Amino acid sequence: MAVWLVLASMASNAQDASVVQQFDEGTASLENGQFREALESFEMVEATGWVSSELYYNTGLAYHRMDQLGQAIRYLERAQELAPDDERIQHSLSIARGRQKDSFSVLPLPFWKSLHMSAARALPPGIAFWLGLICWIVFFGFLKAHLLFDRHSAWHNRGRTVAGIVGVVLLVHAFGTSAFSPFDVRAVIIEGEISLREQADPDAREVVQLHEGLIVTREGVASGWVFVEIPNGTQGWIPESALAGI
Amino acid sequence: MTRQFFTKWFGCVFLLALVGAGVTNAQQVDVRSSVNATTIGTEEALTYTITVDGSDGSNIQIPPAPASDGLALLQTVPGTQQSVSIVNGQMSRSFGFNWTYRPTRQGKATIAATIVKVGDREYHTQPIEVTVVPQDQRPARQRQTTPFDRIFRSPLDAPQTAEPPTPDDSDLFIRAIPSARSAWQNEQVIVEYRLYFREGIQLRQSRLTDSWDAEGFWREELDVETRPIPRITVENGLRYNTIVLKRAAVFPTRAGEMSVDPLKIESEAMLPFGSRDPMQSLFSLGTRFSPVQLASPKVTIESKPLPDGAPSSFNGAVGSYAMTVTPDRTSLDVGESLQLTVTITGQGNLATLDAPRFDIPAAFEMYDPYVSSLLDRSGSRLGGSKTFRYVLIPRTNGTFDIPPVQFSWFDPGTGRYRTTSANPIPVTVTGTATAPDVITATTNGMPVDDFAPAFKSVGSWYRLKTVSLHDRLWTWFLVLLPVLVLGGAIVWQKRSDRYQNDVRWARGRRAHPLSRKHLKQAMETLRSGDTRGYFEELERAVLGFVGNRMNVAEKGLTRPQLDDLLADRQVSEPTRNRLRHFLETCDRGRFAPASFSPENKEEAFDLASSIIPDIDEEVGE
Repeated sequence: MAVWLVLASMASNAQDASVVQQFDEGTASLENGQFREALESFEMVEATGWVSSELYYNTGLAYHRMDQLGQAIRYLERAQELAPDDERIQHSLSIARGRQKDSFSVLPLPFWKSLHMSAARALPPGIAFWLGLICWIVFFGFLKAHLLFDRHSAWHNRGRTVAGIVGVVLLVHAFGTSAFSPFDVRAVIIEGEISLREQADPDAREVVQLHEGLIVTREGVASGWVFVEIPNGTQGWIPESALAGI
Repeated sequence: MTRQFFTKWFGCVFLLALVGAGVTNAQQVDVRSSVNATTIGTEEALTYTITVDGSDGSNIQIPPAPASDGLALLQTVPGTQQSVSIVNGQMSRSFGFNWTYRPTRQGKATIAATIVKVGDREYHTQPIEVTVVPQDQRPARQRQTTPFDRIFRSPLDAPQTAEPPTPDDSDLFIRAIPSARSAWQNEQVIVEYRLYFREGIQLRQSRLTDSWDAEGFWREELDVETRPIPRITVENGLRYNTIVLKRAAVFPTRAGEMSVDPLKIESEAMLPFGSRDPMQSLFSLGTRFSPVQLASPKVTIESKPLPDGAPSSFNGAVGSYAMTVTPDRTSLDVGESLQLTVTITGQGNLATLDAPRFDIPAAFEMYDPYVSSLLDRSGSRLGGSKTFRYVLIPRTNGTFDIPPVQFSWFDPGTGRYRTTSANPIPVTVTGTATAPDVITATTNGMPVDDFAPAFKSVGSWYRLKTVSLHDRLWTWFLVLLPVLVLGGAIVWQKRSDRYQNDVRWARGRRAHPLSRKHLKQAMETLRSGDTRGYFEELERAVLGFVGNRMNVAEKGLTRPQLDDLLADRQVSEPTRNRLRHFLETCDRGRFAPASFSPENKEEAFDLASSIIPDIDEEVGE
């Protein structure tokens, strides 16, 4: 049953036929140059709760055609999260990034964060949970045999130890990664030009000028302002209306 | 003196007769006064000259000799001169009146201003101050001559020495004249180099000795005449010919104090030697040229940084500009090209002018502009135009607006930034949305500098996850479930073991369920009308409970033994009495059932039900 649950969680889900139809209509509008109509269709699909890398890509393409670089990058980044190896998405995202005006150096990540991110990419929390749960159940099966049926063979002991350790590690990884994600909460600037300020105040001193399409890390929120960190590590406040979450 | 005067006057009239017919244009009259030297010895004579330019000579009144202090006038009637020059078919004439003074004492001497009447107008000359020094301290100097002297020199004049004199700094120099000493960063400053040389001095084989440079400046050369006509000017009371050697526009590239290098030339100068011998003048030209080295002073310019508040479209232009934006068409097919020409004209540093920045609709590809410049170096300032030709290629159809092209510059005249903006240009693109034949593809088939085409179908759909794994209760339940199952199994196992091994505990645990079972059977027996069986079940329920609860074989006990046993377990006397009464009632019910009414039977049941919990409570563990 546990194996079935794992496979079920990994498999793509069946979706409503109307979702596919709406996606096709949006794509047709996009190819006919009716970008606004295309976006309306794609937004309706997303509102149903069903998403795909293709949906995000086409949405980003429509925004790109409407000269909204920030929104285009936002949806292309989402598409790449779902399909990181897709050449079409990689190509278009590189084009969009190339049109972004800001060029900041990027701070290197701490080793532990890189390690955590690699582990999270290799073994997403959902898969880790189901695998960990299987090991956890096996461990208790061995434990029950040991406690109630006096099974003390070396094979039982080894199996119990391995299943217990692996199960605990996988479950800790699953819940830990879910609760404390190594991936930053990213957002993209959707206004042409915006000032990063020292304080959450329009009259505060400007730290640096930022431009549409720059991806920043959200660190906190306060009364309509967002505390962000730009790629070179500089931190400051920008209005919430100038940001869109990825 | 009289002979010289008439000889010169005759020559002037003769020359005037030759070219007089060519005088056609009235020119602006210019009156200047000068002396042949500003420092003279006590034994030397001083020649004072008034020159009138721009008049045809018919309306010039001979001016009176100016008053003097420290000088004595040697003649009241001035000597007169006239010269004619024709440049590019344009004739100009100059009339001169000169007087000779001799110093009366050492020290400062002054020739006062005088009035020259030309027609109805009066022109005032400037007073001139000269210094009289002892004769042996007088500066070495060539004899000042005029063209008239050379033309009308008398063969009777005494010959002069053949040693060539050396010019001093007042005879020959270069002056650097900047248009401004202070300028904004990247503002145009004109630096003009003029050569001043006294009348009669000739130069040959002139050349630059060092390369001219202006570090910290962007430099642009302006045109100067290749065969300049000297212009006469008066400096410090002395007459000079001037020509422009070089004119350059310099633009400070940074703020601060910066210098423009001196202009240095080497030349050979022929001074008015003063020989009255025509044969000597004819055959000794080579020996009369002296090498000279000239250098202008260094020019220092203070460059100010541009003020804050530059608009976003400002990219460093300083000067005065205008911009035009012209598309070659506004309707085209997908894949065709549209040429957008942006022309910026004006005065300033056009060479470093960057292309105006502007955004284009994402549906367009734009290539780097073709840039051409047309600089006008002929004027007094550098100007011209710079053209940027952008090629735009639409990749999708639709109606688009090319946003306004904006260009900003800093106007040094007003000290403020200015911005000009073109109107948005509507462009209609027709045709198919994709034109693979014109799109240059990358090696993996992706279009160059554009997004890849849209996806037409979806491979996998995913449900948006709004709740994280750790926020879902069922995940925690699944994790805890094995623990609960194992715990339950262990508890069940231990309970089973105790049932088997601890009879007392097991009978105690079974006491209540069995008594409830017998009471239930008693009620069913009563309903069936079996009074005897009813009382047997009631007695079995109570005695069975006591036996299980106290772990004794209740069937073998006599009533006194039962009472003693209960007394040993601290059961109270009233409870024991009630038990005795209940057991007696049961005995009577079994042996004389007819004597019991239904109410008596219910009372017996109630008594049994109340005795069981009381005994359970009083027996304790």
